[in-house]
Amino acid sequence: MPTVFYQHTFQLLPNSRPLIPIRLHGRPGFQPIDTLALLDSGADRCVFSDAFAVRLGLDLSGGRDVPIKGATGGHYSARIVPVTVELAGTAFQCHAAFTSGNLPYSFVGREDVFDKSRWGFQLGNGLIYFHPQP
Amino acid sequence: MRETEIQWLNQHAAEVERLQGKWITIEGDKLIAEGDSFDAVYEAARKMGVQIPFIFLVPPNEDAIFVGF
Repeated sequence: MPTVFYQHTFQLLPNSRPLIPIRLHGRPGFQPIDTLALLDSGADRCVFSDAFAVRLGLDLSGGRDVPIKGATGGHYSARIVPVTVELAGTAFQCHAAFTSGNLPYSFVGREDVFDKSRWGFQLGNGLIYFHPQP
Repeated sequence: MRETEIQWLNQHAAEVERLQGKWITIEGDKLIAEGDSFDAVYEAARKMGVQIPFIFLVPPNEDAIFVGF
């Protein structure tokens, strides 16, 4: 078995799904915003409420229009625009989907984050491990 | 990042549970605003001098099994 190294440990909130604090960076001159996001390796990419985009100075009108759909049938339209997602001090340049749909969470997904990092889970102990390289 | 706020969330789970479906912002060990709209909560945080607000929607604590939205 290989030995796997991680650089950072997140403490899971009690009785919670795997939520971690992230920082979203938008255009220069706009303040970043911190939020909690659900780690979802089943999500194709990161997905956020479009309310974040406005405050980050992101121009959604210039983004690619895409539908997003959930495992249980939720179906919304979204715009994909660049945004920087900072996790434990590491910045990931992402093409994230922003939607006006009624999402229960912000989602950290596969493209641009999971495929560029390493994660370990000990959910029974309330721990999530992160390394900023695959 | 946000260790103090995460600790606050850990210690105030019952209070947070009552805020399901609300946007909230926490700064340090204080819940500083809550509301139905992201914008209102964001503005409240900024007016209180918070440079980088920590804002999120308190998810519903449903009995249903969650497999994506």
